[in-house]
Amino acid sequence: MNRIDKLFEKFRSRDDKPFLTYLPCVDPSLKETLDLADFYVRNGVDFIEVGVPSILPWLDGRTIQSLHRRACLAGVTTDHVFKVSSLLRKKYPDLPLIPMTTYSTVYSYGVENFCERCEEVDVDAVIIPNYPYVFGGDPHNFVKYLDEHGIYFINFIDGLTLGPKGSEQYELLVKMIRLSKGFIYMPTRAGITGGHGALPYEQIRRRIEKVRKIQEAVGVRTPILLGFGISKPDQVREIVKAGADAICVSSAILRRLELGRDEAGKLIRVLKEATKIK
Amino acid sequence: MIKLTETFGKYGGIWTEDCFKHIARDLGERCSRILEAVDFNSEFQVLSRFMKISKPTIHDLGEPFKLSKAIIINNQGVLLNVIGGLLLAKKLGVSLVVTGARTKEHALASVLISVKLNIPLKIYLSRSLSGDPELLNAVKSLGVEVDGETCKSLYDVPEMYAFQDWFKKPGEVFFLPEKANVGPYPFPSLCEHFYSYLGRFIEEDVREALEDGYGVRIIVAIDSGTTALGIFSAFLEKKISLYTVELDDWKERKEVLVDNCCTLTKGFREKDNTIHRVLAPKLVHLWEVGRIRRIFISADKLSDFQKFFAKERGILVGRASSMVLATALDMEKEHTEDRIFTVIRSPVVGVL
Repeated sequence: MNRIDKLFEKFRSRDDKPFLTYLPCVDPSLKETLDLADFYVRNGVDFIEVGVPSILPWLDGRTIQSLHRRACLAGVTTDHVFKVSSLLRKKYPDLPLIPMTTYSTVYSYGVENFCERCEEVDVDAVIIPNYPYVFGGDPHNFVKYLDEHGIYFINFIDGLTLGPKGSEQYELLVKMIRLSKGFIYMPTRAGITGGHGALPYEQIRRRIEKVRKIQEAVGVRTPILLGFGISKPDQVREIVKAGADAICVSSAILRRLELGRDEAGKLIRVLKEATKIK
Repeated sequence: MIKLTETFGKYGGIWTEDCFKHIARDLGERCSRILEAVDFNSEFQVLSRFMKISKPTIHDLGEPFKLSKAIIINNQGVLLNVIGGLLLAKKLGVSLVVTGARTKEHALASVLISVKLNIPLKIYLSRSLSGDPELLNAVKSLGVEVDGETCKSLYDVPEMYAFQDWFKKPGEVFFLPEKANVGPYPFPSLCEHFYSYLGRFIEEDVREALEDGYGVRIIVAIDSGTTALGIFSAFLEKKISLYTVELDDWKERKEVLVDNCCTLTKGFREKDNTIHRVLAPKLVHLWEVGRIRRIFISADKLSDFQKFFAKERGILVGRASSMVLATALDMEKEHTEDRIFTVIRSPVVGVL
């Protein structure tokens, strides 16, 4: 059983929700990265997106972009990230690990090689938001190879996918839901990672509801994770109330880390606490 | 209906999230309908005249050339693209246009035409442009929102930041691409469409040579490949040999895909003087299917040609134009019955 499925299974009987965050790999010696991962786990992070440096991370906001840039300038490669994942796997046998990057990084590494390495280092899924798995029909057989190696491909579903019943968008959504594994990543709003300002809770609630209805109709129940632009405990509470099964907070934690570990640790704990249903 | 090349991936622009494909497809369809409309074309012509866009001039090259002619193109492509893009944005009814500028021509043209059309514009400037006080003053005094800092502090890729603004609010914002190598469908196709007027400008002259029974060859130097695509678009269906020319000065040439736009790079890290040269996706396709042939010229050969031209003719031609002319000179030796059209810019010093 994939560790992500196990994680959600475990959380079924708990009153809090799984909490995901982003681990930047900016240090070629790996020490800083491993140390940060330990810090995350100590403070209650349940699963980790491992950032693979991208030469042009256009899906990310400024905070994560600056970390990609630091990593590229320091000479961190995709292999460094696999090494980090392998070391983390040894230390945390049950912790779900999810490399995240843009598709160009996978393509440059070699699609089959990338999938093989994912299996070797025993990660659980990948997040490659711009790979057109469903709409494009898995054009480079990337998801097929991932499947062969037992790795999940995480689907992104946002408001732009939610067309009216009978529309092409709706059919795409049904297909995405049917093909989803691990969890569905639902951005709180369209666009790039990070961002500030109010979140559209009512829209989020309706989106989750719509996905749930389709899930019921097609007989799947892949958990829904909400991410992008979440930084405060009251936002987490509202999103959990809206029906989210898991929460991802990355940019806010990375920004807080600049103020020191104590501050960042407090933020993680308070955000995690906010996932509890009272 | 004008059919923009609807391809996602290597031949049509970068891949985006699955969710975005419908947005892009709908935008492409709406743009096609607008481009087809009579009022768009008439307004496009009026604005082109307002901006005094002239047809490229065609010159004999003189000695030592015997068969080659020069088609001199300066900033016509930039202006056509900006006029077309901003007019399209106005017809789409967006509340903001965003663009990234690597060249002063694109920055100034965008600002001028947005003011003329009364469309709010936000412009991201590359590191070098953001250090140009004259440009900054001009942009700010015309009331355009300018971001000269982001490229300085992070990646020097102004079009990416502009594109991200569109990605956040695709219904309200329009992304104006500077070149045909950025963004997903339909942006590369739109840029290519507006640049294709360059090909239409010279179509008649080229056709005459063809009707006179000559073999015809056209050579264009490439940077992003946008001008080359614009010129070639009028001739893809005709029996004309098309060539791109590039400087062969890279010790290690590696071709990769940057989110499925082809790029040529020396490596991946800036500290190793990385060059990321992302090319117009359709150009890569036309190379691959053999419709356009790719020529490389060495730096030494280029330098020899520039010295020769300076000594013999008193003319200093820019690097890209020199690559084209040196290639044409070589080609003349082999194809003595043909007519060769070289697409160049005005000389830096002297007159052809």
